[in-house]
Amino acid sequence: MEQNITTIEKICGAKPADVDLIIVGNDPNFVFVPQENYILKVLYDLDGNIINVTSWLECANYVNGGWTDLIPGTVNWEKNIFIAYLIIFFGYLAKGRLIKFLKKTW
Amino acid sequence: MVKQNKNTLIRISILLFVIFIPFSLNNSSEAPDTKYLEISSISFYQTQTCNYSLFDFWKENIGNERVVIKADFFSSINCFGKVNGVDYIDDSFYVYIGTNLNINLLLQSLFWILLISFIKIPKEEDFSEKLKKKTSPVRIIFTALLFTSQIFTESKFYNLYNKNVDTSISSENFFILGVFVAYLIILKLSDDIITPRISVLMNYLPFIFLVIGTYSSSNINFYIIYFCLIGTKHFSTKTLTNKYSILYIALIFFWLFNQNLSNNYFDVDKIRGFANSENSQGSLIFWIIIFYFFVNGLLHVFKKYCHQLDFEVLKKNFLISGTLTVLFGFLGTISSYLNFINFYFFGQNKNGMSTFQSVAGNTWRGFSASAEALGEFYGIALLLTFYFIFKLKKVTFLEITSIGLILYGLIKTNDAAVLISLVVISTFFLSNKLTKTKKTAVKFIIFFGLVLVFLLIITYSFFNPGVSKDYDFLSQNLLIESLRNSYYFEDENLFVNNLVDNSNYKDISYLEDYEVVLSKSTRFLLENYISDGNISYLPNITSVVSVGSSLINRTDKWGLFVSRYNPNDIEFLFGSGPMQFNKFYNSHTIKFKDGLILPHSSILNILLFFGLTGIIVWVFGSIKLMTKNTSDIKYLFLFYSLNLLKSDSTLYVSSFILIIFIATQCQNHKSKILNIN
Repeated sequence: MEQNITTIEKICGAKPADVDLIIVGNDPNFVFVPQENYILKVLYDLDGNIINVTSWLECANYVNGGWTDLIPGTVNWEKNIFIAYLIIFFGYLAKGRLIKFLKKTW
Repeated sequence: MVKQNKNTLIRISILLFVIFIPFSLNNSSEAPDTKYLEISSISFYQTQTCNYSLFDFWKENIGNERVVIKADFFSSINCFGKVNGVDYIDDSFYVYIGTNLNINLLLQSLFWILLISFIKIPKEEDFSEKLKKKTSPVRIIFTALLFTSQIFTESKFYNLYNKNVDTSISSENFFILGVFVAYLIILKLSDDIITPRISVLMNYLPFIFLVIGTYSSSNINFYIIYFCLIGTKHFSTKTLTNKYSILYIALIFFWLFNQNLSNNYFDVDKIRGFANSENSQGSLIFWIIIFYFFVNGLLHVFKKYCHQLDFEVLKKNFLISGTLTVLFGFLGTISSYLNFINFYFFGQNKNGMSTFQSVAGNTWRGFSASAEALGEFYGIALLLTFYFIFKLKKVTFLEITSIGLILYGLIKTNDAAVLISLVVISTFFLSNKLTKTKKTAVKFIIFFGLVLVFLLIITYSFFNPGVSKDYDFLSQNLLIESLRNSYYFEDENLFVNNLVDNSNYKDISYLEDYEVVLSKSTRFLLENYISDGNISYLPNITSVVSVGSSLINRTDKWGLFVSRYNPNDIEFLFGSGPMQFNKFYNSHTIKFKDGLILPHSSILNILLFFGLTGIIVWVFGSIKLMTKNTSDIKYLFLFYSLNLLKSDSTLYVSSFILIIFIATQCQNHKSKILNIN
């Protein structure tokens, strides 16, 4: 779990000082206690199942088990826009060379 | 010629593409057909969000007068330009169209840069000159980083206006990376397209009142970005050792060390794009740097290329831009769709008016976020036009039509101060020009001045019957107003109310919580009013300011300012820093809490930002500009300065640029009369 801490903190928020990182695993008797002031988070698994988590520890355990805050199958539009902008930017910078190259080849 | 036509055609095609395509794309071809929006079809649009583009919806709802189109700032990228929600409020259907910061930055900039590209590049520009004008990549990257940092320093604003805002520093934070690359593209394009035209840019300055340049979902303005680029480009040790720079750096220390970090959020509302929304050290530093580079960029352009300024072209553009603001204001009122298009593509701070009815029973701001700022712009346009008519003794039919429309717009803004100052400045100018000797001119001015003041007082009293003529009341009106806005009146406080009604200010000053409840400025007015040092028959400061504010109808606004303004000594002397309102609005509790009521005087804004130091610099600078100038530009400066005393226009980027422009030209053309052949 310690290895995934960056991903966990990215999705669940910073680890509260008074919470110990414990792996609950598949223990059916364990009950996650809702954490005061923790804003409810919605997590998804690969099959599209949804779970609402109400404490940092609960969130951390689910993220550790492969759940994420991104709806599966959805497009990361920010990433796409970033790539598109990069292409536009470098394409624009290289426009002179690009035109020259096209003229030569054709 | 053929090549030029081809280029123009390409630019027009791209312009149309930029306007129509992003708002015409649908998400799913499988979605059912659009429907005419009525009560029975609301649920259809509420369940089919993000499926229909604005233009598709428009096509189906032509003539549907109950539709009100609004921007949904909080939209994801894939829902950009699409119907994102529908609400039924007061018998109207509010339809929300998705906008997203990552797209807005590039799309809106592209539209504005394309518009500027229609300006012809001056012929004398040779290749070496063009090369010299290119900005180094390092400075472009620095500027892009600077503007991207705003997302971190004003995270509260950006979280409120944008979905998926991520302020973590990571190579996978594509939101920030996208914004950064968007800024890089904007800066590079601006440098390549606007900078070659920079020497003639001033002639097209009036169009900044049409294309306002504020990005949707953002707290920054396109002109700030571009002039900051110019500012960083010409930044050197020489600029840094300039006496104003040294003074500015000295002030920075006071601002930073005196900052009271409360981390409040300030709702920038109609001054979006040119005000700090947060009270954090990061945002203060951001606005300090931005303001410095922005002003330096403006001064550089306005000073260096003043020889290229053609006042006749400028006048023509004032008329065209003034006419277009009136016409687009009308269009935005008639059609809610056009209102949205105006908002998005002209970069308005706030949606234009949706009705012809005036706000609060008197003003109609039309296209602009501020009726006063628009009125002053119309005033400058008319003053310049009348000047040319007087000088050239000719006027065309088109000019008369434009003047008519602008006059109509000015009357609708109900900016009496502009109308009065237009008459006063014109009279002053005419009496100065029509008399041959200085002695007769002075006589004329005194005569006209007296007649005018008399006429104005009669007219004002006639049109404002509510204004009291009782000096005793007028002299304490401002004080009464500021007391009534204080926290004493949060609940019905009969005791204090009686004291105010009976003008018993001495007893108010004996109240136990007097120093806690009343702001320093209210106490200053009160103590001055009751001071034993007052000389009989000589008005004290409180009376002078109070009577003045009553005559120009500013008592309620200035009263509110006084009740709030509670600076410590350092703040009073040096202010809180450029575009900082947070401390002013959040540090002292008063009765009035809702809505954004600005100080309604640019002098008061200067006091807030730069303290008494700023006011001294402004007053002495203005006197120096006026007295050492024999050209006719000083009339424009005088006109604008008079109006700024009672308006907040300097808080709007367009008006701020215009006043800097006029002041700089006053300095540049000290003796030459406007360059008219």
